[in-house]
Amino acid sequence: MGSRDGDMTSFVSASFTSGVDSLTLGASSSVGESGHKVGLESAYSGSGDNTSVLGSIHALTTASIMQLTDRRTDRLSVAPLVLGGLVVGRVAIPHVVRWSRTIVNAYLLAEQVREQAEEAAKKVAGEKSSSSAATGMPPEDPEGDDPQGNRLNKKLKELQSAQQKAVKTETLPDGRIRYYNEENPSDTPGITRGRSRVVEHNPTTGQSRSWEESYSHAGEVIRVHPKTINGVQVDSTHYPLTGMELAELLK
Amino acid sequence: MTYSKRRFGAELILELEKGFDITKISKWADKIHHDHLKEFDENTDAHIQNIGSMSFGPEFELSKDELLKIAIDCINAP
Repeated sequence: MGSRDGDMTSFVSASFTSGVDSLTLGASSSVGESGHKVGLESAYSGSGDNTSVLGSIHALTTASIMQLTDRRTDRLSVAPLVLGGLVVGRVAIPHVVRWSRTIVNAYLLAEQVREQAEEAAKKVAGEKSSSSAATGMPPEDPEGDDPQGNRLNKKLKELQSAQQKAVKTETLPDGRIRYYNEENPSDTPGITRGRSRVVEHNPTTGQSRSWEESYSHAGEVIRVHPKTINGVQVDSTHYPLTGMELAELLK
Repeated sequence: MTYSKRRFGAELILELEKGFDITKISKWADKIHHDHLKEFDENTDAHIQNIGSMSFGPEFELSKDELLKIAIDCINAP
């Protein structure tokens, strides 16, 4: 606010900068002997190209000032509305277009991410099934028919029991752990000295299996009978076949 | 849930009534062991494993009388 030649003059100005562009808008009001005067000014410096918002505002403000200072009062009421609309349109439309593009791009990106996630999930499922096929072990719940986890429960119980009863634990070079139960001697004399239950756990894959093995008098394993794989009971012959199984086979 | 010694004895007798077949009784014992793992005491566990291993060969086979004796002992156990 200031005073000049006896008139009371008030003025206000605002400056805007955007990159290399700058715009200063000023308004002054004088009251004195000559009456009441209002002055508007717009000063712009910068590139002034089509992309400059400040340049556009300057152009429209200048036109607006020209209209406001026009003596023809019938245009004054319409001019601010028209110019306001032009300013809003000029400034808002590029933003709306940009936002729309951003929204569309975000949607496309989300779709791409979803498709990639689906492909990755399919790949992982494929790898799981192929790894279970390679190891010969069934997956935990391939059909999704064990929602209560009974098989997992059995598997954990079996491992717990094996760990509690183990009289010997052996760790293989690949990390598998074998728990051997106490050897149970045979009731009648023969080539077999006794038998023992073995539970094997692979901490890397989480797989487990159990079998019974019988020993010769020299302590060598002479026969194996698979019992469970991952807590699921298996119905298997002995390896090698027993005399009874051979007779059944030759019937 | 506990799989009692008495229940094991009773079910063994029922199994023997179906016929004395070493392979079938052995498989039955394996199933009991798998289905009721950690639900029985050590003595019953030993009986079940002994019966389950009968299929390994004649060294591990139990006669029908021996199996009946095990069943009756289990039923009469306190």
